Amino acid sequence: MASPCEVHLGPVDERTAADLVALVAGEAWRIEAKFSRYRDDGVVAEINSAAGVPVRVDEETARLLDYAAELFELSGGKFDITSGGLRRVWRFDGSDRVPGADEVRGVLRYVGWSRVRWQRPVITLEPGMEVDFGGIGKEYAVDRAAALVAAVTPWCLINFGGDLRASGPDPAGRPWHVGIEAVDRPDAANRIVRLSRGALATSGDTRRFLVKDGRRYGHILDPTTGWPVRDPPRSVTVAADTCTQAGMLATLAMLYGRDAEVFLTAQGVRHWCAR
Amino acid sequence: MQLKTSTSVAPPGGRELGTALATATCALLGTSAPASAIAQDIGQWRVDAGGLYYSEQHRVSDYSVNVLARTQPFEDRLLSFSLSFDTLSGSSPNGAAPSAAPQAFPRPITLTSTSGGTVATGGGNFTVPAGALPLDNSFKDTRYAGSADWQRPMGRLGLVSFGGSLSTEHDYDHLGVDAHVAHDFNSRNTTLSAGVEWSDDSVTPIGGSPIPFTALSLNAASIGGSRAKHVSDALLGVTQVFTQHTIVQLNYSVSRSDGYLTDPYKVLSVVDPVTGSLTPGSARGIGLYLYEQRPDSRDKKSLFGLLKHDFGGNVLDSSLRLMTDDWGVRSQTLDMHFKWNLKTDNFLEPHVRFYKQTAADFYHTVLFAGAPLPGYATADERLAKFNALTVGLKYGAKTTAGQFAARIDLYHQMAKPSPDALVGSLRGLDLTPDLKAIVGEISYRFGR
Amino acid sequence: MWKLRLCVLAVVFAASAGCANVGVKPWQRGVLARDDMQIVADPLDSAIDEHVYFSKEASSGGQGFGGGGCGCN
Repeated sequence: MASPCEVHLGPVDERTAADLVALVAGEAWRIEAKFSRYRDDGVVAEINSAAGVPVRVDEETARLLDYAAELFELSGGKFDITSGGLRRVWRFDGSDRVPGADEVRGVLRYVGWSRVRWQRPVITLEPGMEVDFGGIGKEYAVDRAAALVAAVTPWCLINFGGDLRASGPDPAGRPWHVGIEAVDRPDAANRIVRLSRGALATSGDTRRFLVKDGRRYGHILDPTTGWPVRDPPRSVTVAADTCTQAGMLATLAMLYGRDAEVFLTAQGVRHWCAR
Repeated sequence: MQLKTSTSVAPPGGRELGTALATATCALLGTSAPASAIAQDIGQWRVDAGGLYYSEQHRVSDYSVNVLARTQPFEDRLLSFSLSFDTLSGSSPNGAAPSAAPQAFPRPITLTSTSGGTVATGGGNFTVPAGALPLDNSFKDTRYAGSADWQRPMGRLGLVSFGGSLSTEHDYDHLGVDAHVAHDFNSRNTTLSAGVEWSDDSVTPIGGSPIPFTALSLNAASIGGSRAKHVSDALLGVTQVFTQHTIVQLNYSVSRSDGYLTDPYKVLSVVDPVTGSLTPGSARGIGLYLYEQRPDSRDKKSLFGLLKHDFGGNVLDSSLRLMTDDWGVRSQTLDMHFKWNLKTDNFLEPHVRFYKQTAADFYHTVLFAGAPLPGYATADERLAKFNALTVGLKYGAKTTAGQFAARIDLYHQMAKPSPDALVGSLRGLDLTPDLKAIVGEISYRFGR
Repeated sequence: MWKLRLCVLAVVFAASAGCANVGVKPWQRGVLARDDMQIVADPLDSAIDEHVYFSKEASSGGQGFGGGGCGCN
């Protein structure tokens, strides 16, 4: 998951607590092993190395692909799990190596969900394309882990690196207090949210960028153009019923760039944007 | 950099995405629609506002409005402001003792120059029946006060705060600054704290400050202008967590006041040492009353201990304060509150406070004619020997925006006159009638 | 009298220094974090009470200070 993961439990005995933590950790590692693009033994590696050959996937992967397809349509192409290909020309290392227009046009040939043949349960990618569940994976894992714990104890908060879900407040009805980190002062919250139930997810842009000729290029790339989104907020936090929804809304908000707040307001969700 | 948040109603079209997203998510997770999220933004401000009604039986009344606002610009910074506005009216004892005969008190004439010319106030007498405590009913005042405090971390385990305060009323101005530091030890179970405060106050008595031990009269000589008073305080404290339910604090503080500490409006009656009747003053029908004088410095030391214990959600808050000063006053205060939670959102909090103090060395209920004048003397009942009891009840209830509370406290102060004052006709009188007061407050807290 | 007090204070501070094992673990601070378990649970009421008693009695403070003087004592 590439971030610190925590489980907060209500009053349970030590044995149950240990079992629940093992359950959550197990689910997190399972999802990571299966869907991480950095692993060469998971589903993603299998799909990405097929080079044009159709790949049959299991039920869980099929559901994720259905979800990705639905989101591609709903977002007008802004959310695209094949956008990882853009990484070939965009490397956000703080330098001034911004790709030229030709390079970007070139790499766009390998990007675009509309080029993917997805006929459940078979997926076929054109050679040179890749899929990446990075935009959904962590939030999905939080929801899955929360469901497993909820079957055992009602009072629980699962937090994977800032994407979190509370299944309910403590037995006395006191909500969880979640701090939203101030953008320019890590580890200090400047906003506190009282979460009784539901999820929070954050999309942020603070540390990866390029600067050339005085212009800053953030690392959120618009897959429809191949270029960074104009004017994204530096951080978006969204509250929703599930972590997957919260994460998706936060990601979409970032992709809307300067219209992030307008988009989120139109959705009617509680959100906090920092610019 | 701005933080924006909003939850306005969606325009047409926007909602479709949300619904479709929710449906798609259910399909992904293989669950039916989850219970909807409850996420409440805790505003950055917390404001406590209270309206107070204070009324003493037969004496002074005070209405005040108080506001305390706190904000955390960041998680580890705290900024607080307070503002208060008081209006006081009614009668206050002027220091003279009851007498077996009726008494009359002149109101000194004071000339104040204003933009429209010179204005004379005062003049005439006010009379007090036999046996009654003389009260001066020209006591009206309005006070404005404010303070601010800024707190920030100091290292990983400490914090430091700086504050200032000021207040003004028609004859008194105050300016103060304070600084505190605190440091946590022992996994934050022990906290050591220290603080200092300096105040620069100035008294501008109406009619000028009277010359001590001169007689109260229509045209008493006085010193015009302001008189200064400086106060320095220092405090050392330790707070210790004992159990998950118990926390204790112990503080030792010292305070030094310098300057004009006398009450410019108070006098002492001069009576015959045998009969107890009032010595005639200079004007016909008026007794002899001399203006008081207190020392020009005061050193106080206090030891304060607090214990808070949680009994399954209910809280006992009890404190004891021992004070001694170089005016001869020693006091003990025992203050207890018990917060009893009725349901999750309501509470009742009974309150009892016991207070006891000895008289100041120079407290005299009356002075005696023919005796040499003491260096310092006051008949102010605040420096007399007395016991005081407060009983009160507070009720609070949570609301959607915060918390509402209402409380009543009944205060009863029972003073004793100086033992040597009970001579002649004074023996049959209540020289230090009890003070009874009611405190009523309604308050509201907004924010977390 | 003040010598006795100084001794009491010294004992207490020494005792609290020896209190290195007394206390709770960070995850046991749920109750202590409640508003009503703070050392000053209601600063507004405390300030109001302090002002009322300061104007009627010879003692003041003890727990803290700051907030201003007045011409009432």
